[in-house]
Amino acid sequence: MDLRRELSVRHYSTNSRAEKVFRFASTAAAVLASFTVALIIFFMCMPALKALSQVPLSAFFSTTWNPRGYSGSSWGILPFIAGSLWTTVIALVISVPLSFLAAVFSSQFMSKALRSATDVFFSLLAGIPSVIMGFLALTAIAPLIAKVFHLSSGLTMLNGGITLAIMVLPTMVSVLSDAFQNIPEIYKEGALALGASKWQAAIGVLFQFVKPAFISSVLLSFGRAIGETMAVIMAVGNVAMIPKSPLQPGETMTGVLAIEMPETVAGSTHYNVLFLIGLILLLIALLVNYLSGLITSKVRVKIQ
Amino acid sequence: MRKTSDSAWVVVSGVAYFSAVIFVIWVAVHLYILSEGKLSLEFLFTNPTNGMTAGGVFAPLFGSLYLALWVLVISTPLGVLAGVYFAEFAPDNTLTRLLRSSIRTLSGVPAIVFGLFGLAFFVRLMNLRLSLLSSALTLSVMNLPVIITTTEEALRLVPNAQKEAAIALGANAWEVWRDVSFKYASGGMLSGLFLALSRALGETAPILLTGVVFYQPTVTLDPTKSFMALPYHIFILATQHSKFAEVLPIAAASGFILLIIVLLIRILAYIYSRRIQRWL
Repeated sequence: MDLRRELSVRHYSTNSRAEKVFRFASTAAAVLASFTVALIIFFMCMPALKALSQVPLSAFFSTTWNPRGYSGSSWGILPFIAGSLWTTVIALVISVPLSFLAAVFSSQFMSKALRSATDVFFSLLAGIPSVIMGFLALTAIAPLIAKVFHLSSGLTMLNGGITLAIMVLPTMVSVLSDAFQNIPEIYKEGALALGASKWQAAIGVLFQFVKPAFISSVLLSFGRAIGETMAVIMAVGNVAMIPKSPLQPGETMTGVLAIEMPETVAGSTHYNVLFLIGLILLLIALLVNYLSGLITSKVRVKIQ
Repeated sequence: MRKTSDSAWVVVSGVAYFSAVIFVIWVAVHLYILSEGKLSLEFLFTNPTNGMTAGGVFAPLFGSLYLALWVLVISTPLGVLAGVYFAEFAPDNTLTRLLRSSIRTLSGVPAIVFGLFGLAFFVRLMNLRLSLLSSALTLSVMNLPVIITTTEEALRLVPNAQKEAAIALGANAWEVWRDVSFKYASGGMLSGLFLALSRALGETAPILLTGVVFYQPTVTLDPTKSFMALPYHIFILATQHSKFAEVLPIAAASGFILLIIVLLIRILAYIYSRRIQRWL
């Protein structure tokens, strides 16, 4: 709960005409803005449900995706789910330890002045457009991967994962770093007084306090990585098959949407099935959002 | 012994931290080197020619800036008003909680899902076709949560003493908001608008399905026409062009321009958001 007394318009309303108009306009704007969520869910569900009536459910659980096959179409979406999971898991495996280290460093070992000078770079890193990250994956990271692992092409799951790791890093670092800085000094001082080094204090004592922020930042990064489109398309080679190792190409759920949607006829089975994939992405986003909200509200209860 | 292991960890974590700093600089340098001297004023003001293997980025650059303008025109009033509602009027009840969680949900939806929604709703149902207006509306929906949350945050940080002083002087609610709250919060609100602007310029997935095309060199102010945009231009050159080696410098130069524009706007957003924090 917010302990600060809030002085909102409600407390000193005088019902002037300008105020009434203003109140009405802002209420309408808030309702309209919130209503777009319902609209999005509705307009994703409509074609997706049609897809479910056009294609038997079992057909989706196949490993072949071939919307325009000679002898009928196959609608296996498993390759895309596998592609999305590979890239996202690789991204988290790389970015979680890195951002944890960076957050400990910035919150425990840096002076405030230096931190405020370098913090802007994390905001900038978060602001690099995804198409430019994709361009980097294509022209810098992929050639490096090809060289190191002796591959003919570096456009692999690993390439996508590394690119995503860089993209989710700034948010994780800032969430974790904020959480570390919000811990009351006394706990750190206590640990140091007991003879712990600064590093031991951070890992052994302070980590307990940032655990909820840690989990929710991992969740948010998962959501962002699985929903990222342009950077991944440019990085992973886009072959609709289940990758058996990080050094194979593949295609993600977001990738198949961006690549195939412009070529489909509105209302066709292909169009509807692509919306079904979009609905799965939306549901993942809703779930991630719900879970991270649950964690933050639990923390609030604990503090009270 | 403990001291050595500690300093080793400090070095490792320091490297992790500063690699992010260095990476941002490296991106700009990498793009600049790959552009092989293509960057010039002329590059900004000429259209792509010869099957996009020569010329500049005028039409895509113009398209992106014009799109961003429309996004701001649509999303600013709606987002700021909604933010004002949550900060000033919203009662603490179930409905408010529902509205709030809807806005939070909206901020987590992937960009490509907004693209699909724009295609189904603005392009098809509202029959706006593949146009700049469809893209601008789609991006506006996507930007709403950013503007709403920054507006609300900024308004919540207005010191009560300031409002109380104005009330004591006989100002009514509208006057308090206009002369005190808005002035105090305008910096924070601006930071949200800059963030929204940088997203409107840099996002590709939402416009990909709602109106951007790869070649449309005649520049028009008509928002019902399809358009070229800088991020999509880079994407097409880097992935769909048959003469990759030939267009690579152009793609890199376009990328450099996009990066500089977006990062400059981000720096402005950062400066203004710091201004909010200073009040705390």
